[in-house]
Amino acid sequence: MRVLVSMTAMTTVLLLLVGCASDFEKRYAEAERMRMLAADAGAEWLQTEKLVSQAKKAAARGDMERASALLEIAQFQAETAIMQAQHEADAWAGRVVQ
Amino acid sequence: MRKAIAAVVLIGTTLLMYQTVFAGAEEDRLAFVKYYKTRFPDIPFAEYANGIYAIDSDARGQWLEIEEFPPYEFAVEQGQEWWEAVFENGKTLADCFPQQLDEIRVSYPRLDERLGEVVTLEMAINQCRTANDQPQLTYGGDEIIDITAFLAYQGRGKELEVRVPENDSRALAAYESGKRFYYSKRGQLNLACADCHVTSVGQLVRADRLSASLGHTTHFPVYRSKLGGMISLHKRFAGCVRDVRAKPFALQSTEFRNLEYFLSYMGNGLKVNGPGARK
Repeated sequence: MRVLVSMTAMTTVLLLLVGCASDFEKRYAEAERMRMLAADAGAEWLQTEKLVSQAKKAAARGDMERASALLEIAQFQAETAIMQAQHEADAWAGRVVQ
Repeated sequence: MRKAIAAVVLIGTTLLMYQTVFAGAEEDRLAFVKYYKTRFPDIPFAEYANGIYAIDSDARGQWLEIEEFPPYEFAVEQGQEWWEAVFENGKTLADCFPQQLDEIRVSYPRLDERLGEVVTLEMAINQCRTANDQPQLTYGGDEIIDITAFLAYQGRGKELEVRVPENDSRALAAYESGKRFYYSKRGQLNLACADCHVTSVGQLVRADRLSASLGHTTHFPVYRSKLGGMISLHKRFAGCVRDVRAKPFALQSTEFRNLEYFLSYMGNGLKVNGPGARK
Protein backbone atom coordinates (compact mmCIF):
# COMPACT_ATOMS: atom_id res chain seq x y z
CA MET A 1 0.00 0.00 0.00
CA ARG A 2 2.82 2.33 0.96
CA VAL A 3 4.55 1.61 -2.31
CA LEU A 4 1.37 2.38 -4.21
CA VAL A 5 0.88 5.68 -2.37
CA SER A 6 4.45 6.82 -2.92
CA MET A 7 4.33 5.82 -6.60
CA THR A 8 1.11 7.76 -7.08
CA ALA A 9 2.61 10.78 -5.34
CA MET A 10 5.76 10.61 -7.46
CA THR A 11 3.76 10.28 -10.66
CA THR A 12 1.62 13.28 -9.68
CA VAL A 13 4.71 15.39 -8.95
CA LEU A 14 6.29 14.33 -12.25
CA LEU A 15 3.13 15.12 -14.19
CA LEU A 16 2.94 18.52 -12.50
CA LEU A 17 6.58 19.26 -13.35
CA VAL A 18 6.11 18.24 -16.98
CA GLY A 19 2.96 20.35 -17.13
CA CYS A 20 4.78 23.39 -15.71
CA ALA A 21 7.66 22.96 -18.13
CA SER A 22 5.33 22.57 -21.06
CA ASP A 23 3.34 25.64 -19.98
CA PHE A 24 6.60 27.56 -19.57
CA GLU A 25 7.78 26.60 -23.06
CA LYS A 26 4.55 27.91 -24.54
CA ARG A 27 4.76 31.17 -22.61
CA TYR A 28 8.45 31.51 -23.41
CA ALA A 29 7.78 31.09 -27.14
CA GLU A 30 5.00 33.67 -27.00
CA ALA A 31 7.14 36.21 -25.08
CA GLU A 32 9.98 35.71 -27.54
CA ARG A 33 7.58 36.11 -30.48
CA MET A 34 6.26 39.39 -29.05
CA ARG A 35 9.80 40.61 -28.39
CA MET A 36 10.73 39.92 -31.99
CA LEU A 37 7.65 41.80 -33.19
CA ALA A 38 8.69 44.79 -31.08
CA ALA A 39 12.23 44.53 -32.47
CA ASP A 40 10.92 44.40 -36.05
CA ALA A 41 8.98 47.58 -35.33
CA GLY A 42 12.24 49.17 -34.09
CA ALA A 43 10.62 49.60 -30.70
CA GLU A 44 12.16 46.96 -28.43
CA TRP A 45 12.84 48.07 -24.90
CA LEU A 46 16.25 47.79 -23.31
CA GLN A 47 15.72 44.93 -20.86
CA THR A 48 13.20 42.68 -22.63
CA GLU A 49 15.71 40.33 -24.24
CA LYS A 50 17.61 40.02 -20.97
CA LEU A 51 14.40 39.23 -19.07
CA VAL A 52 13.48 36.46 -21.51
CA SER A 53 16.97 35.03 -21.26
CA GLN A 54 16.95 35.18 -17.45
CA ALA A 55 13.56 33.44 -17.43
CA LYS A 56 14.95 30.58 -19.49
CA LYS A 57 17.93 30.23 -17.14
CA ALA A 58 15.65 30.22 -14.09
CA ALA A 59 13.49 27.51 -15.68
CA ALA A 60 16.58 25.45 -16.50
CA ARG A 61 17.55 25.36 -12.85
CA GLY A 62 13.98 24.50 -11.84
CA ASP A 63 13.00 27.85 -10.37
CA MET A 64 9.67 28.00 -12.17
CA GLU A 65 8.22 30.68 -9.94
CA ARG A 66 10.98 33.13 -10.82
CA ALA A 67 10.96 32.06 -14.47
CA SER A 68 7.24 32.74 -14.67
CA ALA A 69 7.55 36.14 -13.00
CA LEU A 70 10.34 37.20 -15.36
CA LEU A 71 8.42 36.04 -18.42
CA GLU A 72 5.40 38.00 -17.29
CA ILE A 73 7.43 41.22 -17.18
CA ALA A 74 9.07 40.48 -20.53
CA GLN A 75 5.70 39.79 -22.15
CA PHE A 76 4.28 43.02 -20.73
CA GLN A 77 7.28 45.01 -21.97
CA ALA A 78 7.09 43.55 -25.47
CA GLU A 79 3.34 44.13 -25.76
CA THR A 80 3.64 47.70 -24.48
CA ALA A 81 6.50 48.43 -26.86
CA ILE A 82 4.38 47.26 -29.78
CA MET A 83 1.46 49.43 -28.63
CA GLN A 84 3.88 52.33 -28.27
CA ALA A 85 5.12 51.85 -31.85
CA GLN A 86 1.55 51.63 -33.15
CA HIS A 87 0.62 54.81 -31.33
CA GLU A 88 3.72 56.63 -32.54
CA ALA A 89 3.00 55.73 -36.16
CA ASP A 90 0.85 58.87 -36.27
CA ALA A 91 1.50 60.66 -32.99
CA TRP A 92 5.07 61.72 -33.84
CA ALA A 93 3.85 64.17 -36.47
CA GLY A 94 2.06 66.20 -33.81
CA ARG A 95 5.38 67.04 -32.17
CA VAL A 96 7.15 68.47 -35.21
CA VAL A 97 8.31 72.02 -34.57
CA GLN A 98 6.15 74.33 -36.63
CA MET B 1 -23.14 69.86 -55.49
CA ARG B 2 -22.81 68.67 -51.91
CA LYS B 3 -20.65 65.79 -53.07
CA ALA B 4 -18.37 68.18 -54.98
CA ILE B 5 -17.97 70.43 -51.93
CA ALA B 6 -17.26 67.44 -49.71
CA ALA B 7 -14.68 66.16 -52.18
CA VAL B 8 -12.96 69.56 -52.34
CA VAL B 9 -12.92 69.83 -48.53
CA LEU B 10 -11.56 66.28 -48.25
CA ILE B 11 -8.81 66.90 -50.80
CA GLY B 12 -7.94 70.21 -49.15
CA THR B 13 -7.74 68.65 -45.71
CA THR B 14 -5.64 65.79 -47.01
CA LEU B 15 -3.24 68.19 -48.73
CA LEU B 16 -3.00 70.31 -45.58
CA MET B 17 -2.24 67.25 -43.46
CA TYR B 18 0.30 66.06 -46.02
CA GLN B 19 1.95 69.46 -45.98
CA THR B 20 2.05 69.49 -42.17
CA VAL B 21 3.57 66.04 -41.88
CA PHE B 22 5.78 66.18 -44.95
CA ALA B 23 6.80 69.81 -44.85
CA GLY B 24 9.90 70.50 -46.87
CA ALA B 25 13.26 70.07 -45.19
CA GLU B 26 14.08 73.75 -45.47
CA GLU B 27 10.73 74.68 -43.96
CA ASP B 28 11.51 72.32 -41.07
CA ARG B 29 14.94 73.85 -40.59
CA LEU B 30 13.65 77.40 -40.51
CA ALA B 31 11.01 76.43 -37.94
CA PHE B 32 13.69 74.66 -35.89
CA VAL B 33 15.98 77.70 -35.88
CA LYS B 34 13.08 79.99 -35.06
CA TYR B 35 12.06 77.78 -32.14
CA TYR B 36 15.45 78.07 -30.46
CA LYS B 37 15.69 81.75 -31.30
CA THR B 38 12.41 82.30 -29.49
CA ARG B 39 13.46 80.10 -26.60
CA PHE B 40 16.89 81.69 -26.17
CA PRO B 41 16.68 85.14 -27.78
CA ASP B 42 20.11 86.23 -26.54
CA ILE B 43 22.05 83.34 -28.02
CA PRO B 44 23.46 84.02 -31.51
CA PHE B 45 22.82 81.32 -34.10
CA ALA B 46 26.53 80.51 -34.53
CA GLU B 47 26.84 79.66 -30.82
CA TYR B 48 24.72 76.51 -31.22
CA ALA B 49 27.74 74.82 -32.79
CA ASN B 50 29.10 74.69 -29.23
CA GLY B 51 26.31 72.38 -28.09
CA ILE B 52 25.33 72.62 -24.45
CA TYR B 53 27.98 75.29 -23.83
CA ALA B 54 25.89 77.70 -25.88
CA ILE B 55 23.24 77.69 -23.18
CA ASP B 56 24.98 76.53 -20.01
CA SER B 57 27.18 79.41 -18.90
CA ASP B 58 28.46 77.60 -15.79
CA ALA B 59 29.72 74.58 -17.71
CA ARG B 60 31.05 76.83 -20.48
CA GLY B 61 33.83 78.18 -18.27
CA GLN B 62 35.10 74.67 -17.50
CA TRP B 63 34.87 73.73 -21.16
CA LEU B 64 36.93 76.72 -22.25
CA GLU B 65 39.60 75.73 -19.74
CA ILE B 66 39.62 72.17 -21.11
CA GLU B 67 39.97 73.55 -24.63
CA GLU B 68 43.26 75.20 -23.65
CA PHE B 69 44.83 71.72 -23.63
CA PRO B 70 42.41 69.79 -25.83
CA PRO B 71 42.10 66.13 -24.83
CA TYR B 72 41.25 65.18 -28.44
CA GLU B 73 44.61 66.28 -29.84
CA PHE B 74 46.05 62.77 -29.67
CA ALA B 75 43.11 61.47 -31.68
CA VAL B 76 43.65 64.13 -34.34
CA GLU B 77 47.37 63.30 -34.60
CA GLN B 78 46.72 59.57 -34.71
CA GLY B 79 43.94 60.14 -37.22
CA GLN B 80 46.33 61.94 -39.54
CA GLU B 81 48.66 58.95 -39.43
CA TRP B 82 45.80 56.61 -40.34
CA TRP B 83 44.69 58.98 -43.07
CA GLU B 84 48.12 59.06 -44.65
CA ALA B 85 48.82 55.34 -44.23
CA VAL B 86 49.58 53.71 -47.57
CA PHE B 87 47.59 50.61 -48.56
CA GLU B 88 49.29 47.62 -50.15
CA ASN B 89 48.27 48.89 -53.57
CA GLY B 90 50.09 52.16 -52.97
CA LYS B 91 46.94 54.23 -52.51
CA THR B 92 45.72 56.07 -49.42
CA LEU B 93 42.31 57.06 -48.09
CA ALA B 94 42.79 60.48 -49.67
CA ASP B 95 42.61 58.87 -53.11
CA CYS B 96 38.94 58.02 -52.53
CA PHE B 97 37.88 61.57 -51.71
CA PRO B 98 37.93 64.05 -54.60
CA GLN B 99 37.22 67.00 -52.28
CA GLN B 100 39.82 69.28 -50.73
CA LEU B 101 40.86 68.01 -47.30
CA ASP B 102 38.98 70.77 -45.49
CA GLU B 103 35.80 70.06 -47.48
CA ILE B 104 35.51 66.35 -46.72
CA ARG B 105 33.83 66.65 -43.32
CA VAL B 106 31.03 68.91 -44.55
CA SER B 107 30.40 66.70 -47.59
CA TYR B 108 28.75 64.15 -45.30
CA PRO B 109 26.18 62.86 -44.60
CA ARG B 110 24.81 62.78 -48.11
CA LEU B 111 22.64 60.58 -50.29
CA ASP B 112 24.69 58.15 -52.32
CA GLU B 113 23.21 58.16 -55.83
CA ARG B 114 24.27 54.59 -56.53
CA LEU B 115 23.23 53.03 -53.23
CA GLY B 116 20.15 55.20 -52.83
CA GLU B 117 20.83 55.61 -49.12
CA VAL B 118 22.51 58.00 -46.75
CA VAL B 119 26.27 57.65 -46.53
CA THR B 120 28.10 59.07 -43.54
CA LEU B 121 31.76 59.95 -43.33
CA GLU B 122 32.50 56.74 -41.40
CA MET B 123 30.72 54.68 -44.03
CA ALA B 124 32.58 56.43 -46.83
CA ILE B 125 35.89 55.62 -45.14
CA ASN B 126 34.96 51.95 -44.99
CA GLN B 127 33.74 52.00 -48.61
CA CYS B 128 37.16 53.34 -49.53
CA ARG B 129 38.91 50.58 -47.61
CA THR B 130 36.77 47.92 -49.28
CA ALA B 131 37.58 49.41 -52.70
CA ASN B 132 41.25 49.05 -51.82
CA ASP B 133 40.98 45.46 -50.56
CA GLN B 134 41.36 46.49 -46.94
CA PRO B 135 39.26 45.05 -44.12
CA GLN B 136 36.50 47.32 -42.85
CA LEU B 137 37.13 49.23 -39.66
CA THR B 138 34.89 48.57 -36.67
CA TYR B 139 32.44 51.42 -36.19
CA GLY B 140 33.05 52.92 -32.79
CA GLY B 141 36.65 51.68 -32.81
CA ASP B 142 39.61 53.97 -32.24
CA GLU B 143 40.95 53.98 -35.81
CA ILE B 144 37.81 55.18 -37.57
CA ILE B 145 37.03 57.71 -34.82
CA ASP B 146 40.57 59.09 -35.00
CA ILE B 147 40.30 59.50 -38.78
CA THR B 148 37.01 61.37 -38.44
CA ALA B 149 38.57 63.49 -35.67
CA PHE B 150 41.37 64.47 -38.06
CA LEU B 151 38.91 65.27 -40.87
CA ALA B 152 36.67 67.26 -38.53
CA TYR B 153 39.69 69.23 -37.38
CA GLN B 154 40.67 69.93 -40.97
CA GLY B 155 37.12 71.00 -41.74
CA ARG B 156 36.80 73.45 -38.86
CA GLY B 157 35.15 76.69 -39.89
CA LYS B 158 33.33 75.21 -42.87
CA GLU B 159 29.56 75.48 -42.76
CA LEU B 160 27.31 72.43 -42.76
CA GLU B 161 25.47 72.34 -46.08
CA VAL B 162 23.67 69.02 -46.17
CA ARG B 163 21.46 68.64 -49.23
CA VAL B 164 18.10 66.92 -49.41
CA PRO B 165 17.31 67.07 -53.13
CA GLU B 166 13.56 67.58 -53.47
CA ASN B 167 13.51 65.70 -56.77
CA ASP B 168 15.01 62.57 -55.21
CA SER B 169 12.40 60.44 -53.48
CA ARG B 170 15.11 58.36 -51.78
CA ALA B 171 16.65 61.43 -50.17
CA LEU B 172 13.24 62.66 -49.07
CA ALA B 173 12.39 59.24 -47.64
CA ALA B 174 15.68 59.11 -45.70
CA TYR B 175 15.12 62.63 -44.38
CA GLU B 176 11.54 61.82 -43.35
CA SER B 177 12.71 58.63 -41.67
CA GLY B 178 15.27 60.57 -39.63
CA LYS B 179 12.67 63.19 -38.77
CA ARG B 180 10.19 60.52 -37.70
CA PHE B 181 12.84 58.88 -35.51
CA TYR B 182 13.65 62.22 -33.89
CA TYR B 183 10.04 62.97 -32.96
CA SER B 184 8.94 59.41 -32.00
CA LYS B 185 8.69 58.38 -28.39
CA ARG B 186 10.46 55.16 -27.55
CA GLY B 187 11.66 53.02 -24.68
CA GLN B 188 10.38 52.38 -21.20
CA LEU B 189 10.58 56.11 -20.41
CA ASN B 190 8.40 56.89 -23.45
CA LEU B 191 10.56 59.80 -24.59
CA ALA B 192 11.39 61.19 -28.01
CA CYS B 193 14.66 62.98 -28.83
CA ALA B 194 12.51 66.10 -29.17
CA ASP B 195 11.08 65.73 -25.66
CA CYS B 196 14.51 66.39 -24.17
CA HIS B 197 16.22 68.54 -26.79
CA VAL B 198 13.27 70.66 -27.96
CA THR B 199 10.54 70.71 -25.33
CA SER B 200 12.80 70.53 -22.27
CA VAL B 201 15.93 72.12 -23.73
CA GLY B 202 18.01 73.94 -21.10
CA GLN B 203 16.38 72.14 -18.18
CA LEU B 204 18.27 69.98 -15.74
CA VAL B 205 18.40 66.20 -15.85
CA ARG B 206 20.07 65.47 -12.56
CA ALA B 207 23.14 67.73 -12.72
CA ASP B 208 23.24 68.19 -16.51
CA ARG B 209 21.41 70.63 -18.72
CA LEU B 210 19.72 69.34 -21.84
CA SER B 211 21.36 70.65 -25.00
CA ALA B 212 19.67 72.08 -28.08
CA SER B 213 19.50 69.83 -31.13
CA LEU B 214 20.50 72.73 -33.31
CA GLY B 215 24.21 72.07 -33.85
CA HIS B 216 24.18 68.58 -32.37
CA THR B 217 26.30 67.17 -35.19
CA THR B 218 28.87 69.95 -35.66
CA HIS B 219 31.36 68.92 -33.00
CA PHE B 220 31.59 65.13 -33.32
CA PRO B 221 33.54 63.02 -32.67
CA VAL B 222 34.00 64.22 -29.11
CA TYR B 223 36.29 63.40 -26.23
CA ARG B 224 34.13 62.51 -23.24
CA SER B 225 35.83 63.10 -19.93
CA LYS B 226 33.61 60.64 -18.08
CA LEU B 227 34.59 57.87 -20.50
CA GLY B 228 38.19 58.97 -20.91
CA GLY B 229 38.08 58.59 -24.67
CA MET B 230 36.62 59.63 -28.00
CA ILE B 231 33.10 58.69 -29.09
CA SER B 232 31.31 58.99 -32.41
CA LEU B 233 27.97 60.66 -33.04
CA HIS B 234 26.27 57.30 -33.44
CA LYS B 235 27.71 56.10 -30.16
CA ARG B 236 26.08 59.15 -28.59
CA PHE B 237 22.80 58.34 -30.33
CA ALA B 238 23.03 54.82 -28.90
CA GLY B 239 23.65 56.28 -25.45
CA CYS B 240 20.56 58.48 -25.69
CA VAL B 241 18.40 55.58 -26.86
CA ARG B 242 19.69 53.48 -23.99
CA ASP B 243 19.01 56.33 -21.57
CA VAL B 244 15.31 56.21 -22.43
CA ARG B 245 15.56 52.45 -21.90
CA ALA B 246 15.07 51.36 -25.47
CA LYS B 247 17.32 48.88 -27.25
CA PRO B 248 19.82 50.91 -29.30
CA PHE B 249 20.31 50.37 -33.01
CA ALA B 250 23.70 49.37 -34.37
CA LEU B 251 26.25 52.09 -35.10
CA GLN B 252 25.84 53.14 -38.75
CA SER B 253 22.45 51.41 -38.96
CA THR B 254 19.98 52.89 -41.42
CA GLU B 255 18.05 54.36 -38.51
CA PHE B 256 21.03 56.24 -37.10
CA ARG B 257 22.30 57.34 -40.52
CA ASN B 258 18.90 58.81 -41.35
CA LEU B 259 18.78 60.50 -37.95
CA GLU B 260 22.20 62.00 -38.64
CA TYR B 261 20.95 63.18 -42.04
CA PHE B 262 17.96 64.93 -40.45
CA LEU B 263 19.92 66.47 -37.58
CA SER B 264 22.75 67.59 -39.85
CA TYR B 265 20.27 69.28 -42.16
CA MET B 266 18.78 71.10 -39.17
CA GLY B 267 22.28 72.41 -38.44
CA ASN B 268 22.91 73.74 -41.94
CA GLY B 269 24.70 77.07 -41.81
CA LEU B 270 26.52 76.29 -38.57
CA LYS B 271 30.27 75.88 -38.70
CA VAL B 272 31.91 72.55 -38.06
CA ASN B 273 34.04 72.78 -34.92
CA GLY B 274 34.87 69.16 -34.19
CA PRO B 275 36.36 67.32 -32.61
CA GLY B 276 34.86 68.52 -29.37
CA ALA B 277 35.33 68.00 -25.66
CA ARG B 278 32.41 67.14 -23.42
CA LYS B 279 31.93 66.10 -19.81
